[in-house]
Order: sequence, then structure tokens, then C-alpha cells
Amino acid sequence: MNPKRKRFHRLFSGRKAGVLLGLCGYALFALFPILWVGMMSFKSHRDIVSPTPEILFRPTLENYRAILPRSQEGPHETGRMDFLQCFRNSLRITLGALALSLAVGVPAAYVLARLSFRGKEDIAFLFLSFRFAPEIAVIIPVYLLFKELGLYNTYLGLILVYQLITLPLVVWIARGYFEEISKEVEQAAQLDGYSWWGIFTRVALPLVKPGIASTAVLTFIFAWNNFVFGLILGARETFPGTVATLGFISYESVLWGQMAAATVITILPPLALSIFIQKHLVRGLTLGAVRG
Amino acid sequence: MPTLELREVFKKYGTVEAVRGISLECRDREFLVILGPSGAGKTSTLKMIAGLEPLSGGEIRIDGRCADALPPKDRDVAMVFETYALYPHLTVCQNLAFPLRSPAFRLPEEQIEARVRETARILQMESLLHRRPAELSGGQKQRVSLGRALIRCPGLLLMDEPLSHLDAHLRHRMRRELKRMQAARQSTVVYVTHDYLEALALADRLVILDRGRVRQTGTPSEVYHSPADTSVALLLGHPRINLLSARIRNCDTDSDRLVLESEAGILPLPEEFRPLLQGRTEVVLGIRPHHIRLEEEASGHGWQGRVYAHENLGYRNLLEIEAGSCRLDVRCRESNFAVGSDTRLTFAESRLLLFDKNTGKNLKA
Repeated sequence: MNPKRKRFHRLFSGRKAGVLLGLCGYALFALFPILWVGMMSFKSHRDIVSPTPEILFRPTLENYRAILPRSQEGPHETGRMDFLQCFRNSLRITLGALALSLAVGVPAAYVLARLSFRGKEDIAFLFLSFRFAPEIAVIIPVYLLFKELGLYNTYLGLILVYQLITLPLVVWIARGYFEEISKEVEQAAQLDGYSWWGIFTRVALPLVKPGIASTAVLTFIFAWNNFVFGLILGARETFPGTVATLGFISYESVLWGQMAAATVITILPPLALSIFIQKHLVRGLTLGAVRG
Repeated sequence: MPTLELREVFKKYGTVEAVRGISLECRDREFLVILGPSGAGKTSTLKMIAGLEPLSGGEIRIDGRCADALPPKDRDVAMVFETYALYPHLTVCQNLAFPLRSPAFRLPEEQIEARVRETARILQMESLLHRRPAELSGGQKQRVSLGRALIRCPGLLLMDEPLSHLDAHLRHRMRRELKRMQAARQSTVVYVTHDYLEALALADRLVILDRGRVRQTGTPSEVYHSPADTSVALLLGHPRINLLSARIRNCDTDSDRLVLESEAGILPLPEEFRPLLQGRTEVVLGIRPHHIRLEEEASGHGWQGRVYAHENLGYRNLLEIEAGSCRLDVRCRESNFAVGSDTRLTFAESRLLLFDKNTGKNLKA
């Protein structure tokens, strides 16, 4: 039997087939809403609100045209949020938070992976504990704090609060990568005349670069998808893209089509990134968990 | 070239005592081999000398000065790791240059290039300079890691089982190269291994470790011919030395011949052993496999035995002989003994070793 057919047989034999069927079913269940939104974004308003939804409809780009700036009319209609501006806000906040998390989290991860000192595990655990409580539980005190400190509705404020999402991920995943480096390689560098900083920058960092890259993408996706922080701690000028979709609900009507189009555009960057680094992503997610 | 001295060095990992009071001395330009079974504390000792592991007790002196507070980079020490520990992200050339580019050295680039080329020439790896470690065979990696250690011309070179991952042929060749190189460069070397052949072949002096303690120190022929105790005797030689417990007869009556009664047979001893055995009733008898001769005629002195197993290695034969209630390893040249045939064992009596029944100490030492 040639290897391809062998694989085919293995895939569809008995229990495997059952598992596969189950997974397909789940995929359908999980992806259906996205499919629905995707379809909706190409429907005219009349098709959307029609009481008998149709699978076959006349696709239109009018929703996308409405939310993207048109040359003659200016970027947006009065009174509605500028979606593109929010999309840019998302980029700014997410990338800012990511950069800060990498700058702080990667060295921290290295220290937690390599040095031994009292309370090391406690500190590592503390980072993780950022993610224990749901965001909604801490948002009110944070809101009051931000009002007081003048961080409300600022990029800096949002970048800082996004650390709650990004920093634990960076620290814990990068730590796993650093722990994978052979200790003796670093000891060799010690004997070769390097200080710990030299070892970090010239041996450890280059070795975990691919890992850090996939950590960054993963972290980006988590931060990008956040909704609550932006909604409560931002305002019109700083709302991220996820919050912008809410702007299509108004007193008189809900602009379903435009909301769907905005959602689709907002999904695109994380989707593209996930496809791009799929292989590394799984490794990054499981690495911290399975190490002995 | 520096000297090295360890004084009562201890190393604990949690509650486990890996090294329990090792004292040793390495002279200028000496090739010192630390030999021991796995878990003897060899690598821990080496890493403490390098400064990679802190001491739990004792003192290490390099060139007469206490080195406890010195970080690894200030000890003038280079190390070859068992795992090679090459930098996977750097080419061979960059690996070799890495120590020279460190803040401790910071040589100008043209000098670095010259040193790298020179080292690559000596180790015959000029054609490998632009490969990465992943693209090298075990022997090539080993040479790169050796080159990286030698390129700095360190005062003290530490080697942790550098040949253990090579195949037998290459291991032998590299062994000779190492010995030649050390003689040519006149560097002081501390070399760790569990392979007794490597140890005997390379060492000016040997330190034998077992369970964190020094068992014996001496030249290869000293430790081989008069091992301090049974553990040392077992470590050196293949097949291993035969150890039999034996009772002593007629030790205190001068008139009769001195006789050992073992599980394998009765053995008259030469008179010279008599003073060693005064006041003892039992000893452990040690006979190396190549100090046993197999005789064809059934009658005569010696032990009766039967061939249990026979391996013909061409240039020599390894046999296992059943004698009395035990089995003895024998190494000899002739090969005309079939499995199951009867034979008679005689011994090179002057080479017999006697050990204390309880402590395992060599009675002659």
C-alpha cells in the first residue's frame, strides 16, 4: 500500500472515523456564527431583516462601502463612530501593549526560568493570577482609579490595562522556551567570558527568537479580541475595533449589515496571523503546560 | 600554567551529598584524570572547579589563590562539555570566535580571524567553518567544542567525558590526538571519564572517585597493579577482576604451608603473604582474568573447572569457568577449550591481590 492510501485507511478506520465525525460536527457548531456574520456582511439590509432568511441572496458590498471612507463624502456620516479610526486604535493599543509586555515579560521570563531565588514560584504565579478573575470583576475599581489618575480615555491607560491580558501569556510561554535551552550551553557562555546580560542577549534570546515570535502573535490575538476594557475605560476617541461594532446600534435602528462588515474586518488580522503561525501556535500553547 | 588544589570539597544538592570531602591536587602541566562510575560526583567536581556550581564546603585554590569568589570567566578555565554545548544558532566559525569576542577578551577582528583559522587547521575542520552545529556529526561537534576551549589558550582545561558519545574507533583516535595536543601545548588538564581505558591511556595521574569520595590517587600503573580497595580493582580492567571470599588456613603455624580456602578451590600461597595475613581468618581474594592460566592436563596443582562460556575475539579469548560454586572470568590467548570441557586453573601467584573482608581495603597497600 502506498503511504497516501495507508494514511487514508488509518484516518477512516473504525474509531478514528467516529472521532473525525465528532470533530467536524464541533467545527460546524463553532464556526457557524462566523459563517453567519460573514454572509450577513454581504447582504442588503432588506435581506437581513427579511423574516425568511435565504441561503442564496444577491451579494452586495454596500455595507463595506458604508463603513470604509469614501473620497467625496469624508470618512463617516455625522453622529456615527468612525470605524477605521477604531481599527487604528485597536492596532495602536494592542501593539503598544504587546511591545511593553515583551520588553518587560521576556527578561522576567528568563529570570524565572534560570535563576533560583526565594519566592520565585510565587512571583511566577502572581503573573498568572492576573488572569484568574474575569475582567468585569475588576473593571469598576480600575475605572475609578483611571478617572483619578487621568488615564481614562487615553492610549497609555488602555495599553497599561491590556497588560493584564498580555503579560501573563508572555511570561509563561517565554519561560517554557527559556527552560528548554540546555543549561550547559549557557554555562559554556559563562566560561567563555560573558556576564548574565551577555548570555541573555547573545545566547538565550537568539535561541528563543522563533518562540518569542509565536508568543507575540498569540498574545496579539488575545489582546486584540478584548472588548470590556475598551468599552469601559475608553471613549469615542480611543475605542478599539471590537467596541466600534456596538456603534451600529442606534435609537432608530440596528445597522446589522454594517456591524457584520465591521466584525469581519476586525476578525481579519488575528485570523491571518493564526493561519500564518498555526504550527508554532499549538506548540506555544502546550509548551508551558507539558514540561516536566 | 596554573596548579589546582581542592581541599575537602563538599557538594550537596538538597539532601543528596554528591561530593563528600574531595581533596586533590593537579600539578602544573599535568594531565589529571578523574575516573569513577556514574554518580560518583565527577561532573559536580568539575563544575565546581569551573565555578559553575557553588561549593557546599571546602576550598578550591587555583594557582595558590582561593578561587571561591571568582566567577567562571575570571578563573582562566575552559571546559569541554559532555553534551558539547555548542551554540546552536552560530556557525562553527562563530562558535570558535565566541570566547574571543567576549568582554573578557575583546580581540580585534583580524586577530580573531587568524586564531579561528589556526585552530580550525589544527583540528582539521577548515571545511566545516560555515556549518551550524545541527549539520555536524558527533565527532565534528566534539572537535568544535574542543576547539572552542583551546582557542583561548586557557591555563586550565576541563573536560567532561568529551569522547563518550563517539564510536569506538573515533574515540580511540581522538584519545591519541588529545594526548598529543596536551603534550604539545603543555596545558594543565583535568579530564573526567567513566571509561578506565581512556583514563589509563591519557592520565599522568589518576584520581578514582566513588560515591563522592576519593578512593585512590596515583599513576596508571600504580592504581592498576595495586588498587587501594575492591571498588578500584573492579573499576579497572575488563572483564572485571574476580573477587572470591576465602578462609585462611595455617597462617599462624609456621611449619605448614599457608593455604587459602575459597568457594572455587584451595590455593597454596607463597610465604611472602604470611605477614599480611597474621591474625585474620577471612579475606577477599582478587584475581585478574589475565592472571589465570588454563591447563589441558587434568592432573596437577590448581583448581578444577569447567568451561561455562567462551568468546573468541580473534586476538584473545574470553572465557567464563565454573569452579566449585562460583564462576571466574578468564582472558587468554589459546582457544582450544570447548564449552563444557574440563580444565585446570593455575595462577600467576605474585599477582594475586588480597583485600580485607569487611572494609575491602587492599592488604598490601
